[in-house]
Amino acid sequence: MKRSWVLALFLVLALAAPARAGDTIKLGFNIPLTGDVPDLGESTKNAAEMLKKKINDAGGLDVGGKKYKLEFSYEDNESKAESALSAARKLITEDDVLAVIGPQSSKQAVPAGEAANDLKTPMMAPWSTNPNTTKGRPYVFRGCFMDTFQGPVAAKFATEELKAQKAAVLYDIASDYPKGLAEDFKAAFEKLHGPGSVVAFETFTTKDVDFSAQLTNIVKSGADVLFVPQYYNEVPLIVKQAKALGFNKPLLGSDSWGSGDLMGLCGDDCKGYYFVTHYAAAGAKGKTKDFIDEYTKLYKKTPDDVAALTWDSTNLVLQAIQSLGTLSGDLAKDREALMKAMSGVKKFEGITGDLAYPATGDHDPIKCAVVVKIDDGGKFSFFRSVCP
Amino acid sequence: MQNILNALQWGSFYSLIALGYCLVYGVLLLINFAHGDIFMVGAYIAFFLCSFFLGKYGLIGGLPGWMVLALAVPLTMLLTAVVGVTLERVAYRPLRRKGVNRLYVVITALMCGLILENGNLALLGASRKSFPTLIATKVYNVDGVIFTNLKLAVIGVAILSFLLLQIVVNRTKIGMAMRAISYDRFAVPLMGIPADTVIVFTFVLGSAFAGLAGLFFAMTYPVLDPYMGALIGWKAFHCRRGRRHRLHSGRFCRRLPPGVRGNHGRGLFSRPPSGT
Repeated sequence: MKRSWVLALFLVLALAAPARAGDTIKLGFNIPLTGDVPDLGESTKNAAEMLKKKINDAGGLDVGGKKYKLEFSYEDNESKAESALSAARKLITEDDVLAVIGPQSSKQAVPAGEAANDLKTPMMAPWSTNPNTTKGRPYVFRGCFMDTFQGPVAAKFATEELKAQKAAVLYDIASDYPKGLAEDFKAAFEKLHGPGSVVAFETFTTKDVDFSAQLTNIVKSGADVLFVPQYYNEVPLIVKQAKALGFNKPLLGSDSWGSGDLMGLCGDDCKGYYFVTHYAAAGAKGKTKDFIDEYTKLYKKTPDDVAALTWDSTNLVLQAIQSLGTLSGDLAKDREALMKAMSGVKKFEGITGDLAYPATGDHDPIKCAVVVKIDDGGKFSFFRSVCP
Repeated sequence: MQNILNALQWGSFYSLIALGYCLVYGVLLLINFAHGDIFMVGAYIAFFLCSFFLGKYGLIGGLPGWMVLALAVPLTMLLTAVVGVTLERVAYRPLRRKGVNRLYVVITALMCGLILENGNLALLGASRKSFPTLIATKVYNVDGVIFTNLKLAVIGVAILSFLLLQIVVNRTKIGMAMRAISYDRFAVPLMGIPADTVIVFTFVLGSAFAGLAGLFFAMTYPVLDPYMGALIGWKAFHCRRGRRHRLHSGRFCRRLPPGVRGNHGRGLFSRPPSGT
């Protein structure tokens, strides 16, 4: 008697689960809510919540005439590679999400991409620029340009605008993103100025706060520009220490500068520098402006590039889901169909520019980069746009 | 020369923190693993004090930077000492009363460190805090060696702290009591010396220096996060052990005799080059 009760309970639960999944679509977010770069996680969540509210308020996502409510689950990856891996596995195998958005940083996106690809679940990395994230992984997609594009853009900018003949690089060797980008920058700069023109190529490891030894070498090397592909929590320390050691040449940043509370931590010291990024909030037009206005109203701050890219990437996934026409309810089948629909995206008009995936090969979109100047008011103002 | 100066600054932080480890270990034979986190709490206390005195919370009018610093130094030391003593009262003293194995106390210390870290994370959120600038940084260039007023201040403060501690331990009554406890913990109470008072004093001293280190660390590296203490605490701990293990032999070393406990207390504070 007792056993049959337990059996019945299991049956009810087993029946209930797919019934619930029937009219909702579940997406997972693998994001850093704590750890070294918590602002990235916050931006992602803000943009996602805003999108979810917008769609659910309108009745849900329309797939082939049927309305589905959206359900987002957020998993904290603590800005660590190993936690990103377990967060991806948990979202895919336990939370049964249709697709995963994130991680944002390449350090987490590269390992998480492997898990998503192995488990045959579409994964969208909105902000990861390292080539390895999508390399040879049909289930992994990217929402931004790559470091193999960003590196040369930065090198060219340093040469043409900053008139640099010799460059120095300071980067975190223990993280995929800075390491890959530093190497791409070095290769591009040496191609323009000949071997040996990168006069200092200095490294540190994650969580270091004292860079005086490396910066002393950089000052001595006589470089005209210092390229720092680091995150918002490290840049202020590097900038301040470089100034304290008498380095008065320009610093050049990468897309990781624009996210998070850079100006709050750096203050006046960062003003006047340039960095390469995905979009410029100041002076935006059209639907980009609509997005910025709505986000600013809701969260009382300007959306950074992470928020904008998350908005675009999530929209792209939702658009691909809509193009399926119908959802079978069989997770494995739907995931595969979604992967195919996403790879078939020929033109997606996003707020960070148009996006298209190449017909063959890895899912790396072709997008333009923006060079931004930190003006005297601490705003990121548009300086120029570079397209491939 | 430039590198030596850089290393001196970085080493000053290690030695200030290592002082606390050393004192507590010398007196109690307890490796206080929570010490790195007390340092972190010190930095946060300094952050809130300075923001308060600068008028950021609007309760009082803003004071000039030098006055804020003058107020922040004793107050940070005091409040951090309170945190250290609270830990001793809540976590270590009950265990000592029970006379348990030292290993349990060490594990408790580790746990206290985790509580401080994650308590901070839960209370203040994961976002970084930016420490306000108290004194405008001035860059000096003497014969190609570049340094700032802050760098000199840090090194100066570290050296002053060593001298102060030296005097306290070797020349005062309570210092003598500390040395006595480290020789024989059981005989000392029999001689009428209040052991608990001495131990509390040790924690006050150690934590106050951690708070001081926290304040100057926050001034030098003005981005604060809840886990900042864990790593530097471990490194300082290694510095403390440096004497016995010769971990950093051949590096820039400095020998300071706080003399808390003949052998272990004669701390040799090695200074790893910056960037390690």
